Amino acid sequence: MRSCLINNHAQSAIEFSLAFILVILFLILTGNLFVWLNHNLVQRQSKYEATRVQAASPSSPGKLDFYKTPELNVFAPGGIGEK
Amino acid sequence: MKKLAEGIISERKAQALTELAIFGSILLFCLAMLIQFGLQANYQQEAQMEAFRKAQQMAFNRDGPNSAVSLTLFKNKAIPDPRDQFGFAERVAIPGSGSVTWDTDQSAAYIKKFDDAPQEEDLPAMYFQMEGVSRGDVVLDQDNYPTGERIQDVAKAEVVSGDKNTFGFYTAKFEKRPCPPKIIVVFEDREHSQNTEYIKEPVFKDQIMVSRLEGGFEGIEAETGSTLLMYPYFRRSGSLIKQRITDADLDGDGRLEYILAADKNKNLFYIRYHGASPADAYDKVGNIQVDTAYAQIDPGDREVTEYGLGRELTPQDRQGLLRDFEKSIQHSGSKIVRTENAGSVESETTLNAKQTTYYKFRLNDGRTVSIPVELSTDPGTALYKWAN
Repeated sequence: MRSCLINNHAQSAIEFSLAFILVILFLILTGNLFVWLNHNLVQRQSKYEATRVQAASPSSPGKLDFYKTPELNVFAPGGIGEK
Repeated sequence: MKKLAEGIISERKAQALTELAIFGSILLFCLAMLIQFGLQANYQQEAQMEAFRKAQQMAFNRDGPNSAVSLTLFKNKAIPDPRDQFGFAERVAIPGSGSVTWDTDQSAAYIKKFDDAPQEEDLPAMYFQMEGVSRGDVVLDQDNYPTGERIQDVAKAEVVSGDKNTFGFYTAKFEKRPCPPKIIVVFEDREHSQNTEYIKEPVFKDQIMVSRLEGGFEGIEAETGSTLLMYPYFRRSGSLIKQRITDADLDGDGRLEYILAADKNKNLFYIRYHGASPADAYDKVGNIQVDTAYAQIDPGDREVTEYGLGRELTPQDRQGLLRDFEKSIQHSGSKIVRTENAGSVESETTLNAKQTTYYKFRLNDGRTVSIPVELSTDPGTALYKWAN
């Protein structure tokens, strides 16, 4: 009876550790994904407005390549991988 | 006791599993929703910006003064949705649209050459671009489109308005044709509309003609009041505007009058009457008054039936019609006449959710005329140039 309970305590500690690590990873992943999505919205708008004059000039009318979406890396800070 | 302890432990194991299953799936659902909303917002923003920039490019690349382009873009993106079946990433159409007028500051030069017929590139252009699968069940005859462009997508719908007005709406998508995407087909005879097949070949919005039972084309029946040729005029600023006009048989003599504008508040039409004498017009269309401030119009008795060609109008035909119309205004002396109290506004009708709105005028003799709202503007500005 006693050894059985001790074994179960150990098991729950292991399970907690594993679950804790997974939950933390999940939160990091979700957080980085959220930041990456918002980063794209903000940066695309920013670049778009920065190139408005250029896009309205005859030299480069309707400039399209004003923003390149960075790669998603959920483990990198902000989810932003290589551009 | 031992059995009891084992029972408690085993229950706790089941509880942990249950908690994992419930909270884990909730967390995964939240993650999936985050991905879905995030991707959708990103694609939407991207499509909107891309549509505007592409419209800028198109407007810049077109010739003509004040090049105006409207572009609607549909991007076809796969966005995961946790509510879908497992393994199916639904493709979603992401729309974006932009309208650009690129002023090339050539209005003065353009006015000088206005004796020539307006060219196609002078008209506003509307483009549709669609990614992905094509849908539609109407196959158009390629020969109807002399420029030889490929038609990528066609959809059709029918709208029934009242018991007499039935319109077939065709929306066609072309690779690069600068034409209105909405193509309206009208019945050839409003009296027999319920038993008459509508015209199979679509005609463009600015070329709406009705085929006669005995052959050839005629202007639109009074009941429909749909738009016809583009009517050009100048604003006080000197810039050129294209205005659509409406044909209707106001006096019921079987011939059509051009309605240049209508004022719903005063129950008033500005028409170009086909009769040579304004006095005749006054007699025929109720209380007509000649407003000489809008004079200098050809007295030529040009009826729409003259343009009955027995076939679909080509761009050359259209240019010829416009040239004819312009010269008749410029070089002769008929009047634009104004009708007053010729009828009353009966209702305001929108044919469908986002298309043309019409005022329905009821004439004194009981017949009705539908006038697009856009014509219900003050024609004083529209006709200013001709009065000088």
